[in-house]
Amino acid sequence: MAFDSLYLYHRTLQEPSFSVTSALGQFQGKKSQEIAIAKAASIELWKVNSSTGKLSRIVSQDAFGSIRALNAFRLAGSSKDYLAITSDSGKFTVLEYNINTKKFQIVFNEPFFKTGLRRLAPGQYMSQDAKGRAIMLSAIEKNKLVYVFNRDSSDNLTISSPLEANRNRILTFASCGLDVGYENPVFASIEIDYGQFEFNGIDPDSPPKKTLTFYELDLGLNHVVKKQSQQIPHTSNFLLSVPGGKNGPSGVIIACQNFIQYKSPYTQKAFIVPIPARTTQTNRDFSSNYIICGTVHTMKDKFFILLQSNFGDIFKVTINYDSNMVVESMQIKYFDTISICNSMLILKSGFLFADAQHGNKSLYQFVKLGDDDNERIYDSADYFNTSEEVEDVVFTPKDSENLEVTDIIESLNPILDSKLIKLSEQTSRISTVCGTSNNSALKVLTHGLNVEEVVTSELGNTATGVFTTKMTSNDDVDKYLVISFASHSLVLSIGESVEEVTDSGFDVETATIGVQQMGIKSLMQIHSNGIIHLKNNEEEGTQKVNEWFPPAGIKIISCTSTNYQLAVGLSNRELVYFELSDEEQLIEYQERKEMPGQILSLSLGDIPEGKLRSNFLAVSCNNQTLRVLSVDPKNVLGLVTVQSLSSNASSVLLLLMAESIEEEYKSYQLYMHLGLENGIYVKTLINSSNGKISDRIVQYLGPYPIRLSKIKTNFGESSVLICSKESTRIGFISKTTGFKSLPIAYDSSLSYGASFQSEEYPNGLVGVHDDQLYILSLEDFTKEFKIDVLPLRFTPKKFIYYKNLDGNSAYYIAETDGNTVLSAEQNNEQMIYPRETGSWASCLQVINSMDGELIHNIDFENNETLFNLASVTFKTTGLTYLVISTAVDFSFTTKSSSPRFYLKCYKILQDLKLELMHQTKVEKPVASVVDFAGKLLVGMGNTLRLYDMGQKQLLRKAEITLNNLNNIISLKTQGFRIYVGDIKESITFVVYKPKQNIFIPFVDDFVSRHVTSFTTLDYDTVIGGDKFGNVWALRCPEESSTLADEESAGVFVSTQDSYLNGSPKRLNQLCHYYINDIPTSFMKNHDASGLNESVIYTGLQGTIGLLVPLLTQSEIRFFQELQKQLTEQPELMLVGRDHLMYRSYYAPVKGIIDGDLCEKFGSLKQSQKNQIAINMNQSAKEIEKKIVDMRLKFSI
Amino acid sequence: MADKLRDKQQYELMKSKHIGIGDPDTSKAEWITNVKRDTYSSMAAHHGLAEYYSIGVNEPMQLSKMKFIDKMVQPYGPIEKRK
Repeated sequence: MAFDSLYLYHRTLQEPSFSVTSALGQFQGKKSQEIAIAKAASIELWKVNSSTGKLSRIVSQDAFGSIRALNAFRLAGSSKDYLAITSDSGKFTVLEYNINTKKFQIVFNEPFFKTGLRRLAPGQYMSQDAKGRAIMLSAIEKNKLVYVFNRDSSDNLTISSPLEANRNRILTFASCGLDVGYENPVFASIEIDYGQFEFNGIDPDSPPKKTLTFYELDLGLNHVVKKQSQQIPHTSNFLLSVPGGKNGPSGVIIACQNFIQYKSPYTQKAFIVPIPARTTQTNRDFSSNYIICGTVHTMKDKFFILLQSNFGDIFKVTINYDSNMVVESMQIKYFDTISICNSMLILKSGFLFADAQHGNKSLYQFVKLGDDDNERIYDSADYFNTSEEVEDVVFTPKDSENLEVTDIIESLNPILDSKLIKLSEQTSRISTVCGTSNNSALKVLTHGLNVEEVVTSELGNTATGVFTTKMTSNDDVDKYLVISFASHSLVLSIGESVEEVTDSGFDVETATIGVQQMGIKSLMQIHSNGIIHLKNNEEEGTQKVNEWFPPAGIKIISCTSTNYQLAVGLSNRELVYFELSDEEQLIEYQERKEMPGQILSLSLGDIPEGKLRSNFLAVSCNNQTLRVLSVDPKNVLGLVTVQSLSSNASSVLLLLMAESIEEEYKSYQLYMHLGLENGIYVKTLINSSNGKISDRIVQYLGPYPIRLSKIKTNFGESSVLICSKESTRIGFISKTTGFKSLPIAYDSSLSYGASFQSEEYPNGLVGVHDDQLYILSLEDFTKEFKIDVLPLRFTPKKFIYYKNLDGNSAYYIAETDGNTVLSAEQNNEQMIYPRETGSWASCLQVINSMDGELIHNIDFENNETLFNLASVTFKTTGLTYLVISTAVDFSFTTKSSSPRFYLKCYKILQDLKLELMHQTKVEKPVASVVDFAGKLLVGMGNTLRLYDMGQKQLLRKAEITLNNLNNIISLKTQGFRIYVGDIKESITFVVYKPKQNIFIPFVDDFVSRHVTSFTTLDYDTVIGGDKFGNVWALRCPEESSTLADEESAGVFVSTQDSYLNGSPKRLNQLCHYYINDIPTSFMKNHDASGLNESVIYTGLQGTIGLLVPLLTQSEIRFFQELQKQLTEQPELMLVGRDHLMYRSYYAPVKGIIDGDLCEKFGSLKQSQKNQIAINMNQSAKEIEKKIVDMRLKFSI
Repeated sequence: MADKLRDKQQYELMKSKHIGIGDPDTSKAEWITNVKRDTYSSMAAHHGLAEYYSIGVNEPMQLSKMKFIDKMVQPYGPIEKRK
């Protein structure tokens, strides 16, 4: 059955940026407020630096369950917030942040309902009592539960069994908890009773009324009662609690179309204000203003409310009340405009966190509170009901005066399309089109660590090495930068600027092998003819110079040093070892050791904390061996171990790296890093007591010698810089997962590199490549992608990348916004496009892929919608055209419009601009276009049609209607085979027979998958995803595949009996897996070595994921077992969801291992690791090595 | 006969507890109403589906969700009363 199995290892490269909601709290139990963000399946905690206004992530934890709602609550008198979460696990989860482990830990996981996001499962809405005494969970229909919190005698949080408040035939739209001080907790919800409409039709003129219902939790009797119900307008959608008790009048804000009301269970009187409309919207036909998001900010003796409309406009609402807390009036005025948010949070330190729905999440600082501007104020005294037509309630959007952005979280949500673009043999980029409307952008992702370019400079000659050193052992920053050339050196001093110095005392007439600061004040330069030892006495301003020379005619070719030790390799194969005396004199060890080959590289490593010297010296010789010698005083230059290698090691580096990341048990291990001449990088562990080498991790980086150097940063432990001619990587220990090796996201690779620490750039990196010098500054190691952003105009639907014969390339991006007026205005947050129902704003942008310049912009002024585009090279003309499918006067919802559909052909000119050739009218919307066999193939509804280029329009050549399909949304081709992806009916394989000019569908699927995107893995296999968040791989049976390709088999296949209204045969499902995001593209990728294949996918909510094939049975068994072991660790399943059930959300998981879970092995405590290791009959180190091996199998 | 009566009572009890339980007399309208309510609630509850839809129609997710729940009131049309 080898043919019929495929095992993939799934790993998330970039977590989704979509967030469900966010909450503010003092989770660390300190004064400072943190922001908890609920992602689709993970929890993040962010803190705000109130002096710089920057956000930084404290922790991100996978929950392995879909999160529905999140709330922070605090028991009265306590200073620490808990997180309450509902999810698809059917459990009510309470988490607490543990300061020691820096993670959230589970306090409760109380089951209350079946799993899944069901109609009746409470948890869609969560509302809490302001005093943290109770939380109400509501389902969309019928069910409501209330949990009551208490404290036990030892001050621990306790939770009651849930109290039910179920009401049949009730739909809930929103809910919130009232602030009632210490009275019985009251919850409000917007509801509709559909009972009355079960048997009666709905009169469109009087749509069903909604009610605002108050539920009271009687703490004495311990039950929940419906307290009161009030009728509210049928468009009501938003509910927000108003401060009560000592802080305000209590009650709620309810918003409906065009109006905001204040209501309270204690009074009958409602206060009404209209939602001001944009002046750009007056006289336009558009379904008006709604409030979608809001927040209250309480200060010492007053509070104000910010509400956001569906345009992104923020309004400030103030409620005036007298000393008896009786409301007198309510006022509203325009405040500012920002991106549409899922939630807004106001921090006590004067920041607004805008959890934007699409586009980047931003942190704003309040510059003003809008108190003294001359915006018009609308007062509740003038408005009495929510059905009246109000006129002249408008405002003019203006540039932000009240809010100022201080930081953003780069977000990819939503990714609508993406392509993997190969720039060279070694490097690729993932280009994505993201965002909607005025947040739209083309984002180009480079896999690698973020670096900032500080300086580049030309050196004139090809450099052969680069070194940095500090002046004295007390310095924090480097003083000298030494660049070595073939026969001379260049010494630069590092200060505010980097400039050449001549008085350094270093020899610049020879090539430098190394520089080192030794002892307290000594400085060494090891050059090819000897060693210069400088002793600086700054007080006296003198410099003492000592020199050491090798025997005549002998040169130094390699060296290594620590602050106390120095070893050099001579060209006569002798190894010389020095130590520093107390007087800072260099003392040569009496014996020189002859090595069996030329000494290519040496490394002494770091001096362990509290020790005087490093005990080991690694020596690489040109007879493909590596030796570890002891430099312990008892056994100086004694041999510890020998390794033979597959190739000469051009570079060796001993490095102490943090073994366990948790602060409390931080320990260091000695690692040996090897860079071989054949391009292999090896990391091994050296046992610090006996020098034995174990736990080898190997990575191939292309066919060039590798050089290593140590780099220091102020945000992490020592890490290793891995330089090869074509790629530069950094190997480091990640806080959450252990060892990682990532490229640096920089255009040029570095041949040699070194750490560079200056006042201004504490995390610098200096490198040379040929005759170029680069000084870069590293950003932290948490981001795996560097994102370059180019703003677009409207929501990008699809794009293509086209490269012409001259090697010039461009992105062609089809952008369309529905219900929007086409305007030429620049996009920014304030300039939201005018909206009008039924109007389409579309444009096609051509953007140079090299410099991001806009080459060409085509506006579609005829109320046109763009669906899809492709570049097609027609055999008949030999030219390449851009074909774009469009519709005029199209509407998704109203059937009455009379749309017209077109295929527009543009000639792609030499300068990549477009010239309209002609347009061809078609009957239905064309959702897919593809270049096929020198012609154009389109999917139009359920019809597959082949077009050729004509003078006046496209010429129809062949066509088939696939009756079992609905709408062909994606097409892929290989040879004469076509893979047809349908919006509802999965994938169908079709073969085209050019001789007979017919299409023959020969195999389709047995499951109705709602395909969103797919690609071919090989000729017979496709991998794709559906709109429910599944990924699957399907394979055609071998026999059908060969039969379909037989020249004469056409008639046979087409006359075979159809099976269940479809093709004669069915596809086999190889893999199935739930990723909890809607896949929008799949891309096949080979890494630089060409050895490892993988599939990268992007998800709508901003996920970038990776699927790597598992090749051997033992690998498959290992990861299956590891996954099983890890699912039994309850602390990893934050919301208590069964992992297997989660990944099998719609259909049983098959053939895919959850690598994200496997990666969690690194975050476990050592005791847990050991237990799993025992259960799996392996050592914990072996398990870690296998996980790292999988991690290293990917590069783009 | 008593058994039949008890069966019926038990069925009514289950039906009031668990929405969507059918019997041989369930009409097409009842069936479809229930399926559609499940579908709309699923679209409101699954963030991915709601976002996918809201991007398509170019409106905030919150409004899409409200519309889904609004449609649950009477997704198919009035159901005929049983005799």
